[in-house]
Amino acid sequence: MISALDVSTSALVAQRTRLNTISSNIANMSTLRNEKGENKPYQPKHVIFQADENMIGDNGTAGVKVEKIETEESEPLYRYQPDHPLAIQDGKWKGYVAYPNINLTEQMVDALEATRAYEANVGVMEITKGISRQTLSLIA
Amino acid sequence: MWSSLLGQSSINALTQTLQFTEKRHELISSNVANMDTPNYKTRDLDVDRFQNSLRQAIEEPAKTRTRSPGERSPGEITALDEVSDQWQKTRDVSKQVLFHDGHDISLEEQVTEAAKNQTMHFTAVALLKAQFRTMQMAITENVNV
Repeated sequence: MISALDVSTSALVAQRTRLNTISSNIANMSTLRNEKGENKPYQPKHVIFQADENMIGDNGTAGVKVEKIETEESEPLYRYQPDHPLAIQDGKWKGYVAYPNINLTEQMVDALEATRAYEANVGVMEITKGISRQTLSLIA
Repeated sequence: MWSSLLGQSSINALTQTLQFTEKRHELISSNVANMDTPNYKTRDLDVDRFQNSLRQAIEEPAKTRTRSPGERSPGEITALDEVSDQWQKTRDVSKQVLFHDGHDISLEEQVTEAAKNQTMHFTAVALLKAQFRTMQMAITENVNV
């Protein structure tokens, strides 16, 4: 019974990781330089979930874990801003500035989904607690 | 004395039910936990199957009344063991909407199943409590237990 709580907790952790990633995507919507200071726009990140079969045992119960966080390799968004200090100096995109290609709507929907999933797992945890309490009431 | 006292009542059948609902609840939790996991398929235990094998286990020894004392009583039911390893086969994937990332979880359905399962658990606990209270009454010769 207690293992059901562990399963739900693993999902809470995973969904929180996902929400953190979304936050970082939205926060870096206009970030033009990467962490090394190079002129590379921020690339959005995606969390990949995986069923964690070995969490409890082989009875079919599976938790969740974050398998990996992938970085999207998308074309940046080019905006024509010739007076911008980071404007591209030569080539096809001369006078353009490369911005991160982050779709805000997509990110918000994803954030909403993560929040709802988090809530659903909290709901299941309440049920688990109710069942355990009821079982324990047999001896009390 | 104890085996006859505990074995003849429904206590052991109820215990099996409790174990079943706990197992099933764990599976439902993992279904909800893996709501966003690609390629995860819904898992469940078959309630009807469990109840059928529970009924069989109760009825069979009752029919063959010749069993010697101490032999398998309705209490020693193995209904759970027969069902619990069947968790994968109980679900027909095609009944569900299969999403693009390969999972088939309907949250509403899982929450309903969790609520049903919880009710089943509560019922079993309430019945067990009633059994124990009756026993207590007999032991203490007091109706107001």
